[in-house]
Amino acid sequence: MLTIETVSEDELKFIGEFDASQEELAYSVLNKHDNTLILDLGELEYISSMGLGVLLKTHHRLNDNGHELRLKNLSSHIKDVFKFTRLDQVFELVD
Amino acid sequence: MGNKGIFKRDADELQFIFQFLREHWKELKIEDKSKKELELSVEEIFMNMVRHNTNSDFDIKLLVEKKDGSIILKLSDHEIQPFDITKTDDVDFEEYFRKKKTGGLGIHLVKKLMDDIQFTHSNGISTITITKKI
Repeated sequence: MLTIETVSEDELKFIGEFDASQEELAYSVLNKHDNTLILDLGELEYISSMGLGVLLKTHHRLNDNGHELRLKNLSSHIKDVFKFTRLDQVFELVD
Repeated sequence: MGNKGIFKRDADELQFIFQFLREHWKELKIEDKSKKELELSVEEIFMNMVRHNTNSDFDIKLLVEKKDGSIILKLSDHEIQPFDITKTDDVDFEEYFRKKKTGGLGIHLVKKLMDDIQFTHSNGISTITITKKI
């Protein structure tokens, strides 16, 4: 199960597990943001390719308007998933 | 040792699949990293069956077993036209990023995370077997 908390106007915190069943929830929150957005993934334990797709699509949407999606505090497991899919080259990952 | 679960063709079943796997993990000595990689691989294959084999109304079967120091997971689905995921092309990342694609990374992840993937098709049933050494 995925929980999304609002940290500030430009930062959200993803907590729990981002599997394919959470796609609609994630889009419903992410699509409300049109400027550069920071996602704190420090308490995200799991992400599948569906979750990666949601983040990529959001990144491209923001990018088209000169903004971006930044990801921070990735755990080693989540970092591995980004590395294996080379998405660590797409997103700005910050500690 | 083996254990079988039967799941409906719906993303909302993932919670029950994870529950089923985690019950099984309790009996086995597996590192957290391997558990997550196995769960991720099961989701990718399950969702591939749900999204791409839309002509089937049959449930999807999942078998878990430990053999010779490995975890073996088998997912079986009724399939008229077999789709062998082991024969899919590698992702061309240059093109992937250039065309701003956002899907199609699931099978790539399974190939990266598992030690072996096998596909069989017999009597209208496709079975994907993934193996991870523990």
